[in-house]
Amino acid sequence: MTITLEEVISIPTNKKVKKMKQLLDRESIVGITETVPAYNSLMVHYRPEVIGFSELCEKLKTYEDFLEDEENKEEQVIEIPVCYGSEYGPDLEEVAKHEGISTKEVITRHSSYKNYVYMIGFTPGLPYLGCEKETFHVPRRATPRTKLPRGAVTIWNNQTTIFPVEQPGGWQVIGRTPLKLFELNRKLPFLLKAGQWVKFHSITEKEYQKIASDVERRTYQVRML
Amino acid sequence: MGIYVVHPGLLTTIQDRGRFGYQAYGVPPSGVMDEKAFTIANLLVGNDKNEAVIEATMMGPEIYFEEDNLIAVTGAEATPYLNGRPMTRYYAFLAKSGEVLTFGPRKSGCRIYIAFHGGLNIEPVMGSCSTYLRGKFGGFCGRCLAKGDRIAFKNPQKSLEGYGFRFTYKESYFVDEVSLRVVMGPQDHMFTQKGIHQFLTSSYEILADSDRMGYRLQGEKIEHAVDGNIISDGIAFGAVQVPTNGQPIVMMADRQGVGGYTKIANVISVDLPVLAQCIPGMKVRFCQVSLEEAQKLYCARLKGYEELSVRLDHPKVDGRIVITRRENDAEQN
Repeated sequence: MTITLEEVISIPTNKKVKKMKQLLDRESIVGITETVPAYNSLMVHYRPEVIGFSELCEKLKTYEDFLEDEENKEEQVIEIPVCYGSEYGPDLEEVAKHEGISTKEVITRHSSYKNYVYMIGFTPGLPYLGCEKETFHVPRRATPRTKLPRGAVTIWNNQTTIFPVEQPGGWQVIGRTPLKLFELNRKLPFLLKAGQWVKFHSITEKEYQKIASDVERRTYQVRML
Repeated sequence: MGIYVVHPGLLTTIQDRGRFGYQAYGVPPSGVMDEKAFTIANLLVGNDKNEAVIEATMMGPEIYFEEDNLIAVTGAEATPYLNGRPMTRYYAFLAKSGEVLTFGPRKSGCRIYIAFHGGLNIEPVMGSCSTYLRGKFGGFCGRCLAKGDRIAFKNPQKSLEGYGFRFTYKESYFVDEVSLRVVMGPQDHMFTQKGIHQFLTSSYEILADSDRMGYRLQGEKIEHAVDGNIISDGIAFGAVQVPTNGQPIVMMADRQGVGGYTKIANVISVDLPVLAQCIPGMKVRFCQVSLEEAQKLYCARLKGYEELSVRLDHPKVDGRIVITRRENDAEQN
């Protein structure tokens, strides 16, 4: 079953979705097997042989009132180091040209604001990010690249994301992070989760190499702002 | 010591019921396409209902046994052979060390399941032994089985309670057209009345690029009120997505957890195995049932599994063997 809140993509609505998920995960209602949050909805997978549809609906309605209260206390902001431009971000120049600003200004702009993690999906660990203000207007590449490397930091229009694994894609690649958003054999395979915030931080190529080797050795400490 | 893959077939993977609990992180559930054939295969060899099995597509693999074990073959209609001797599908039999399991030509169905007593020695990833091919993890090294692969048994047995009577009704499948029951929604309100009518009255052909992620269908265009885009939301097994082009895609085992196309309906759980056994070129039709009906049918199927499990372990009632035809299909009685 899918519980859809307001028909909008907005951070307050998404926070209610998160709240609902937290409540359900904490209450662990017998019969619910998994909950999957999206922008403005929560999918609830359940076992009908344990709990029927109408019974589940009744139960879920009792949580409605709890969605409005208190702001989530601490909101985590995770810093993502990015090496912008050159081979790390082959589309940086083109993006700058399209926006009519310098590459330096693109970097400054991209790393100046916080991005909200609406949800994780499509491929393991891929964040759907959003922010509250206008950022860029650049379209997708006319011809998608057949390979975006792991960690590619990309933009398209007003959106930005990070690719957790190598995959094809049409988004503009402006940089690359040495962090691994998804690593199977790690205790926590996923770096991000829905409801967190992400802020990009410009690093040099040398810093990139250093962080990459720390990540490899598992000694890198992710910075929380 | 267990099995040695002599020939893998076309697309042969290790699957269990699926990887649940990680869709919120973008990890598809994967798992078997045909839950019914899978469950029955496991019950026949006395396994837990979730034990990992081999799922083969369109043609069976060739498997050399390095150790004795009880096995059962279910799903697509293709005769299994042990060292050239024909064996019975939906029947637990002993494969001896040194014997080779092969398959005859496929007569109907798409996916063959092979269950091994005690299961295969596969390291679970995020709680499941299912192979997620696109993500390259789970199952055997995150990939299809290949020639030369060796997989050990966890707990092989030469015999089992009720051995010799551990069989059940042999399934065969339609080869031209199937009818799938659906529950409408969650976005059926985003289609015109004409669109809904088209969906429920026309037949749709299964396209060749259908795979474990989804069945792509082609037929009369399903008309949207506006278009096929929504704010991305959760996707269930069997969701019928209709993008703006009006051609439906039924989401299957390797589906992603969320998607941005309108979902006109959802194929009901008990009919997903029917679709999973369809091959490209076949036609499907959709017919509407209520959610209550769908859940009643599903519960009846689970009850059928329980009954089958009990009967396999205790085949004799008052000293007589009691086997009812279609016992694994309680809802069809």
